[in-house]
Amino acid sequence: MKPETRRLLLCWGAAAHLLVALVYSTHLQVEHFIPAGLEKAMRIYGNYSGAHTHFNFFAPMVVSQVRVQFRLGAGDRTLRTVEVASDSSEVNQRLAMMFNFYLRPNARLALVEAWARHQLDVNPDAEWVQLRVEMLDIPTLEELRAGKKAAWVEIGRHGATRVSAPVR
Amino acid sequence: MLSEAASCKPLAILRIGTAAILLAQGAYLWGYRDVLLYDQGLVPWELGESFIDALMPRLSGIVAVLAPLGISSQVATGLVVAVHLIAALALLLGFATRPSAVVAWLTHLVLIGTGVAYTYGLGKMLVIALFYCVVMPVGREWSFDASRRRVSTPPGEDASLSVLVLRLHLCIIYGAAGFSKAVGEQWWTGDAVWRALSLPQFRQFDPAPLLQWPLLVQAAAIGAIAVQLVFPLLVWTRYRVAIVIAAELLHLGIAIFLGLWLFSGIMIVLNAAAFGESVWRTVAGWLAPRAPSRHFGKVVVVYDGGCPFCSDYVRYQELRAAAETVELVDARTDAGALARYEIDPIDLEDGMVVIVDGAYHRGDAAVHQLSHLSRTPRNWWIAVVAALSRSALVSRVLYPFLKLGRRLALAILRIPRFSQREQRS
Repeated sequence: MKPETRRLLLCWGAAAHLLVALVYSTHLQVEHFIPAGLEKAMRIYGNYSGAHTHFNFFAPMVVSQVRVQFRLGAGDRTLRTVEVASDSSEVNQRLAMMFNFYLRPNARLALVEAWARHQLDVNPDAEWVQLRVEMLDIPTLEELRAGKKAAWVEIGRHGATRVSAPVR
Repeated sequence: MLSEAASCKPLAILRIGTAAILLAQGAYLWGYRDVLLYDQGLVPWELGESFIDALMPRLSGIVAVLAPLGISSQVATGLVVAVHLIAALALLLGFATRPSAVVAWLTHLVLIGTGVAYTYGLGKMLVIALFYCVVMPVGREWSFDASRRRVSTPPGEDASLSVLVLRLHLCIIYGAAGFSKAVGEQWWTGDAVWRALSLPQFRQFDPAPLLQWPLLVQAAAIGAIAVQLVFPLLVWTRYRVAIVIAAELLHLGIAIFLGLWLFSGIMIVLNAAAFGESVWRTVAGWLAPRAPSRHFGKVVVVYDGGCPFCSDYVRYQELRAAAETVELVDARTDAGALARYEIDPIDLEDGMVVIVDGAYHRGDAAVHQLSHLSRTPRNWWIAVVAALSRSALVSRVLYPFLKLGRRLALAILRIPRFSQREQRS
């Protein structure tokens, strides 16, 4: 291949790559305005190259955090409450991301079932598990100065027994 | 200004930094792969993989390939993670650079695909960085591969185009991130910063004391927007050094205050790869030895010899090339100096007086004048102060801090200030 041709191909390739990155870059879902076939090709390329990334980290707003408390009941009627956490802040960050997936309606029930099953798997003495899902209500700076405090607010409650959520 | 890559070293920075972050991430996640990655973990594969495009690689696909060999899903997952980390190590060392980049990239896509529920900004940025490691010549410098080549390969246009792409992509990232924040009310009121600091997943300290300074929180939020919005503009101007440093400090702040060390790390690596060489050359140019800009008849520097900083500062000035006659006068030992040069003692209380052909320069103006009269001083801290003082504005901003430092030093060393010196007859 001639050097000039190679240079031209590289430049055009780089330009196309950056154009895909630009299209997907903001929090705006611009992809809805692109023809479906073209958008699919751009999306697949973007997923492999990282160009399909919306840089809306903490934007336009900072979403609050979801936490899940698992209340486990054993056959001997003992109860205990556990939370899924680790000693690593990096791992806890990822667990928090996962719990926030609860906010997606199409994933909610499947997630709850998976969490219940996991808790029954790792706690073989538990006969049932109740999941209490809470979201942190953070007041604005103005509300905080007026005396309002942050509080966990329940947004969902689910349950499962060892029979209904058989362990694997 | 568009592209100044004189070597492939910026791309080596990209390679080494990306690989280091992959290894750090792996160290965190290896011990928790049963919770985060196994099919029997918190998010089953069927659920996690339903959120990714059908053409993206995934763990269930690899397990399906390995299952006929009697390899369980758990072992297969462990194998993928292990291969990923080995590839990252090879990438760090620059050993079989392109193949290791390809393997690291593909295994990373597998892990974040199936683990989409756990993926945040770091995962996305690593895809970008790894893709660039695959397509760019990142192994030509500081690598095992390069050391095996007997003849070094000139950087060519590939390095320049690669660095240009990195720069433009960073401009897109910052511009988009700044725009997305700017349209959010939380960022203008400061609530966004407060919320981020308050979330348990990010909390590094109790943010309650910050309530006493709401304007500080608001300023931090607006400052973050400003840095990101102006980055794509200023980075192509003579303010490149300032805006790149501002961006790096923004990421350092995110790491310190939110605990997002890996995410900040990859952003710092991308900035360093895109602009590091350029910024380094600019700063080195500021500190490089230079000749004085003009030649004068007589230069007199009157200073307080009791202050070790002033004495050192004056001693290391190389003024001989700047004037026919140069006189350094220690007013603490030369009792008649103040009267001879008609200088008020207050002028030496916190600084020095530089007289250039009869024109008097005091305080920050004196430091500014010396920076233009002298060759670059040999002492490093004096060279830095001199380089910064070449700008009259910077000199004026910097001077109060120099004065404060000087007063503290005199107090600690128990040296009386000039106005309290012993008067010699």
